[in-house]
Amino acid sequence: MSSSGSTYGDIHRYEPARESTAAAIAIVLLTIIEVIFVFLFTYGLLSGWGLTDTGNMYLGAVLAVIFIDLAFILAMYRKEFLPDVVIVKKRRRKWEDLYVREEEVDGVPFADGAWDHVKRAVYPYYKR
Amino acid sequence: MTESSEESDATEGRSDPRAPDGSMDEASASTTGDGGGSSTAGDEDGSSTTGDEDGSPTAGDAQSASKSPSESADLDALRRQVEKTYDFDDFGPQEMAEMSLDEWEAVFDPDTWIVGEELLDRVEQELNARVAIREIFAVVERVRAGDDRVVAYSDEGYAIVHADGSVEGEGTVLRDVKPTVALCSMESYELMDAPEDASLPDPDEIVEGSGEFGNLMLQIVAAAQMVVGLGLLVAWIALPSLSTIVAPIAAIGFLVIGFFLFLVVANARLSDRFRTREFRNRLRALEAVKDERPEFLPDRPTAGRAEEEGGPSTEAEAIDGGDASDPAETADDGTDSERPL
Repeated sequence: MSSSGSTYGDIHRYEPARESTAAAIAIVLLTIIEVIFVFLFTYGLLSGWGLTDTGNMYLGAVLAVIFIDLAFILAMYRKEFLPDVVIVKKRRRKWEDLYVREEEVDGVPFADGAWDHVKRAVYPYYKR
Repeated sequence: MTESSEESDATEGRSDPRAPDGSMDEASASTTGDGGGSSTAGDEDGSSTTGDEDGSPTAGDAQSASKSPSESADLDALRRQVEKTYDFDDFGPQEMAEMSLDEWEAVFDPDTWIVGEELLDRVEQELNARVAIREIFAVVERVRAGDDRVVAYSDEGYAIVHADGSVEGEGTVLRDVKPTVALCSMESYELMDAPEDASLPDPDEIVEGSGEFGNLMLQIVAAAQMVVGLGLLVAWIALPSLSTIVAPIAAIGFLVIGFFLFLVVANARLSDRFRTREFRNRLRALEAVKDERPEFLPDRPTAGRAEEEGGPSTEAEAIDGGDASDPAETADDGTDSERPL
């Protein structure tokens, strides 16, 4: 369904970010944790924690916490601190726009009747 | 956008078979195209519209009962025959085109659809609610001068909903309004509640959407990553005791993450400034359209009537609008403008 004229790039909706208090508290805590763990990892690496078995696992765990925490910070930022924007974009043609007819949107049956289905399932080269 | 287009597909499929009679007359007249059919279309049309406006559910039955009993028996026979011929569980536009007008009239009850003033009330409320949640970008107005109708328009098009459920117009607004009309004409559809102030915001009220707080937090994280990354790199170069390859790799990783986060913040600020400006411009354009009163929108009752008559023939943009009684136009793109979908 195409619309006349060029409307690409039109902004359809622009809602400011919510920035709820809970999200603000959460992102502050996550940021503090992130900073602490980043420095902890560096300190641990420099002072050779990784040379022992347990210390190595510990450093790995700290690095994992850093990345997971960063993921949550980004998710929170995207969801609560960025505006809700809808922009008109060009819809690219899909395969089904070109090769599927309107009356065949739900697919084409490959056999008619239950028995025919059985026959075709058993022998795929059964007459077309 | 995706939402509304999916919705339109769904409702089109559902509502095709039982469209209000006014529009169906046109559709079948345009598809069958024989002289006899159109003559019956004329008188059937007149009688059924009065029935709609009464709003009484038994209007159609009363009319058929007032005719001679043999005629109603004929109708019954025809109905049975049509029900035998067509499979209504699998009924699409093709089958619709095959049916003659008489067959259509026999099987489908126009009262299954909400039409008339009630439809317009529902459409108005629903459109306002959808504008309030910004699903539709348009100004919605109820025009009671001349024939009662609901007009929705923006800088990118317009849509006019008439009391018989037909929609005319052009552009994105038309595409967004069509499914709404189809939904509102269904009794089972529950309307959304429109808030008190359901209009689009004032251009000057638009503030930049992302507050500085989130950006600040992200910048703190990015700065910490940068500091640590640089520190690790320097330590690896400076300290002879630190010979592990892990240090420079981690340093580069931290630097990349920090750079990426600063980039995210910069992009958010720049695109925000740009988008608020664009959105303000669009709202201003909408206000300009509102002020200059386009030809489909009368400002005074008398002038509006005259403009509406003159409009479609002169304006190029009214190709799929026009009068419902014009058979040539209906045949051209009846699917687009005349059906209440």
